[in-house]
Amino acid sequence: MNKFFWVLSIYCIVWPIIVAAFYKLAYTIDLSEGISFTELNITAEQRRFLTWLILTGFFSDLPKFVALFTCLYVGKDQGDGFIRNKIISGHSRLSVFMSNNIAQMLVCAFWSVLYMCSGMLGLLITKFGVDLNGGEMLRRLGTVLVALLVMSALFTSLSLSFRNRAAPVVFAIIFTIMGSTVCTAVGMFAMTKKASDSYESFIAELVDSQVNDVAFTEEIADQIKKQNTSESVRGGKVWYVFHPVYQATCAGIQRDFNLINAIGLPSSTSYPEEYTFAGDMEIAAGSTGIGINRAELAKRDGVTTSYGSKCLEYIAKSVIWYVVITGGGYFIFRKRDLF
Amino acid sequence: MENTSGVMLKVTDVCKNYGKHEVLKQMSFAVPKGSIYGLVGKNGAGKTTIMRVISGLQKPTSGTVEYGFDRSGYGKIGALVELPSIYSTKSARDNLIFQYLNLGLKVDESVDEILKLIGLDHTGKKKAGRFSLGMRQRLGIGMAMAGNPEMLILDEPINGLDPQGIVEVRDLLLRLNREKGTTIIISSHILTELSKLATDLAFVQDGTVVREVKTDEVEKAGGIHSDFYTSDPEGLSDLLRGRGLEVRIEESSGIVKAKGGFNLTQVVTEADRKGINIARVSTHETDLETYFINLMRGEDNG
Repeated sequence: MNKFFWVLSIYCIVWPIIVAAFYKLAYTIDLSEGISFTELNITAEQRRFLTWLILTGFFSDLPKFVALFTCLYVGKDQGDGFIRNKIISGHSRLSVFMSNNIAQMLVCAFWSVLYMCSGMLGLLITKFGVDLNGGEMLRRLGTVLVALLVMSALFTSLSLSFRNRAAPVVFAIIFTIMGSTVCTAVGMFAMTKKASDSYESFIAELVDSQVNDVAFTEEIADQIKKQNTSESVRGGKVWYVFHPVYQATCAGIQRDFNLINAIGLPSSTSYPEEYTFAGDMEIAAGSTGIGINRAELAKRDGVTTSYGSKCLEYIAKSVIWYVVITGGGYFIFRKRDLF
Repeated sequence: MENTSGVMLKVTDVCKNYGKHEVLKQMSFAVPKGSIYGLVGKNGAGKTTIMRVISGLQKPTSGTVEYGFDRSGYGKIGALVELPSIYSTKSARDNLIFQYLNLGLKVDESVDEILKLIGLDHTGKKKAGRFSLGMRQRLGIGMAMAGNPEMLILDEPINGLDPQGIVEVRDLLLRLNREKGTTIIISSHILTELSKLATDLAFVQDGTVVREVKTDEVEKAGGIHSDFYTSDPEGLSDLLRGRGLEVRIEESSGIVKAKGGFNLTQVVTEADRKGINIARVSTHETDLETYFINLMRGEDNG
């Protein structure tokens, strides 16, 4: 297990640098006349976005390794009888459980920080430069890290709940593979009712003003209003199923914090200053043939919030889930027969 | 937790169920302080389960386990339940050091003392994974001994050992018990070994202790037993008593039961001279094994 730890540590150092080099290549390569390279010329916004993209790579890269390491490490300790040894020696089950929990979270935090530091090094080496948005980015990175630590706690709880050594590994790997898909699905239903109601009234006001200006007939206006209801913009009836999941869990973090797999070419190239549904709403309105003033819509009630409050929301949810997962895991471990 | 003096461990009405399967059924026994307490029973009788319950690895479904010492703090109990818990990639010394750290103990010369006691002081940097089974068992016992525990729990510690290894482990345990006064609870299905080691025995059958005895009681009950089928039980009894044997007549059958060694030719000749007819003599030796088998069959060992 020591070797596995060091191999993953090396991965956390090397991989972000490779990713930064990959982006350097993508930004500078010129294939118009054979292969040649141009001068690197990026804007401050691009630099900020790249910093975010490469530094948050740990969130999409590390879970599968953390899952594997945690389950194998704790599983080996159980298999070799060291957890039994500690119990026999007089350590309480709570201290055994929590020591494993904390140790695995520390390992996860160590790798994440190493990954981020190495990402910054990669950005400096490739001359992209690092832009942490005046330090504000650290708050978002911290929030993402906290969510990952909850995942680590889940893997530890799984490992200590099963007698079988293979089961937690299988469950954890399935969780990490499916987790990304679930997060994407749940993230699509992030919009609140307040925000979608604001959208509906915004569209209604806009359409009514157009009717008054005789740009639309009342029939067309009614049709547009029907196509742009509060329910339709937030995702239809399915919203009632997925939005509660979004609210209760951290599954929306990928969408809310724009956590794109660092090696994938990003479609969006901005680091948003504020958390807003205005962009999604603009697309929804556009699909029905309505052009809207995004900045005006963003000012409406519930459409935009600060990332500060979003971070607080996710940290609060992470803490609650940590307590639930750790409490549940300990409850099972306390009752479990050790063989 | 408090206990009467002289008792190191008191198990009272302990039941343990795995789902619907009842493994321990109101098991009760008491382990005297300073004793080597042997648990004897067939495979599946519940020996390992009760060891796990005593060592805190499993919680009893009902019943109580009381210790004759303050259980709080580390290293009061040392245990080797089934396989030894050792790091195969570390040396014997490193394994012991890990155990010391686990117990919050200062690593001092006592580590080397234990290594010497278990006969692994010469292994140097050799990894435990390359040890023989006997060496691993001894290391497991050594780790259980770390911190000078009040009580050692050893489940089948001589399982799989060669004769030399068995002798080594036996001598080690006897030394521990005599020199340090450590109470040892040990289970084994190698009864002859257990009889050489244990001061007290508990016979376990179907999840309960059917009898607790002192080993010397078994020894007393043991020895050569002979059944004489004769027409004159009284006369033969007198003859045998005269030769120093313990004799009793079984009322229902009139069989003369004698305990002790004798010369058969001399007894038959003397009986013939006195006109006592001996139709048949059957002789058998009773050791712990026979005692155990008789007990399991529900037969009297007296």
